[in-house]
Amino acid sequence: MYEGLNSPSIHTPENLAEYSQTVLRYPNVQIWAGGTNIMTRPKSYPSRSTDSEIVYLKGIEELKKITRNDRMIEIGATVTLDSILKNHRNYIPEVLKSNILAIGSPLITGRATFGGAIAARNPMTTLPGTLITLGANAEVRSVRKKTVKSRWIPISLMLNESKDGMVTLPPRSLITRVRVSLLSSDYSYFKEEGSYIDDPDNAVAVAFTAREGQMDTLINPHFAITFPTKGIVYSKDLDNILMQLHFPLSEEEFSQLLQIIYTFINAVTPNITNLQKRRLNNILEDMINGINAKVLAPSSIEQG
Amino acid sequence: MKIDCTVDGKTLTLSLNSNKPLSLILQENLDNQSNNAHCKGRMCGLCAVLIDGKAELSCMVPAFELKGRNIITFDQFQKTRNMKDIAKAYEMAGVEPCKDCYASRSLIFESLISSEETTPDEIKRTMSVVKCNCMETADEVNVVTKALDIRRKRNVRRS
Repeated sequence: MYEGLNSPSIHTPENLAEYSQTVLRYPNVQIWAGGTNIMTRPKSYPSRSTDSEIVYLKGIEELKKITRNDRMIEIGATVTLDSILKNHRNYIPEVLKSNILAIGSPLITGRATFGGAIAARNPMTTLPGTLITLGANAEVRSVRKKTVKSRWIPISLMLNESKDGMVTLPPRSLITRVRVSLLSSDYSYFKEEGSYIDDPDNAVAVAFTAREGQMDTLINPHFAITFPTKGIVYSKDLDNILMQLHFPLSEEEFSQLLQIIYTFINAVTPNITNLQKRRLNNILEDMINGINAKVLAPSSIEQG
Repeated sequence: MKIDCTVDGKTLTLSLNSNKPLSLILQENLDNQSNNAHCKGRMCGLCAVLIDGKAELSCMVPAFELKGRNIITFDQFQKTRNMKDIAKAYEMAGVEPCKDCYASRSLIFESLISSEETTPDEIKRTMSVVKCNCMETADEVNVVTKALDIRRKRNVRRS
């Protein structure tokens, strides 16, 4: 069936220079890393486009590398999520590990690539939100009129450029590497309710990291909420509000915090579903209870 | 696009659309009997095949990735000694997957057994891709553990 339709041409560059040449020659080329996001689209096959081109990134050696030192890990864009978990499980931040585990079976994470999981849109994965809380930076390679520019951009800035809560790359750009800090956090939380694969319209995920401060406060809290089809809610103002709180929070303080969080959510994505609201409330309650419990734990009091 | 690959032991040269999913190739081009699920990438977990010995969802694999690969579907796998080990493990554990997921689940079990990834957490996470609810997680762990024992004993006898 459909064999008469045009079959996309496959370009398999072996290095980034070849990739740049391909992109210059075919400006509308579709970038293919693991293909998990492309193959899950209902109209991925048969291709309706008559002149479709695919550039397959798996042959590019530069994108397959992982380097690590005491302070950070640098992950190539086509490294699969499963290989990060298998080879660097003991080093990667807890919140990133939880996120990859939540994505699902190695049959999926063995194909899904790190760069692809960041760049995927509609539905977006839960990974960019987690990377924002970790202050991760991505090396973005842009090809413009025979010049190639590479620059490191914080993933949170990619979010701000679009203003729709989605991670947006400049046109003709590719994420080549992602740098994640390995500095430890005292509080680390990731939870997804509903699956972004099965039911993205109703799924919600929360990622949170912070360090323990004096007087039961949080230092450097970073907090991101992902609605896969609607966008990521992340704001430095919200992080600052969390920094001013004294834990444990009472029920009243928690409901005030919820109201503030919903103000931020409504500014980015006002049309979340009731199920998402319910799920988000559950997750936030669980998260705050976790922080409260940790603050009240005897070891924490002694340290404080 | 012409693609050379091996499917169930037969070396084939297929003329295909380059982005056609393997699940559709098996159904439409190769008349495969065991693979009749095409969920259009919704990841129902019922279309697993072994590619170079590793379980993959065939709906996620495009034709252009098949060049030079060795694909084994349940049509071929059900005739092997390895499947007999798994069938014996089903019998010993007193559980059996339903008709819908039998093929897919057995191939994913085989992938776990051959890679010796048999920690309960790993089995649970791997099998979570199969959306059919006919088997409990504890039973899946039990089947893999038993099948691995059977396989090891068989390998010892052979050596």
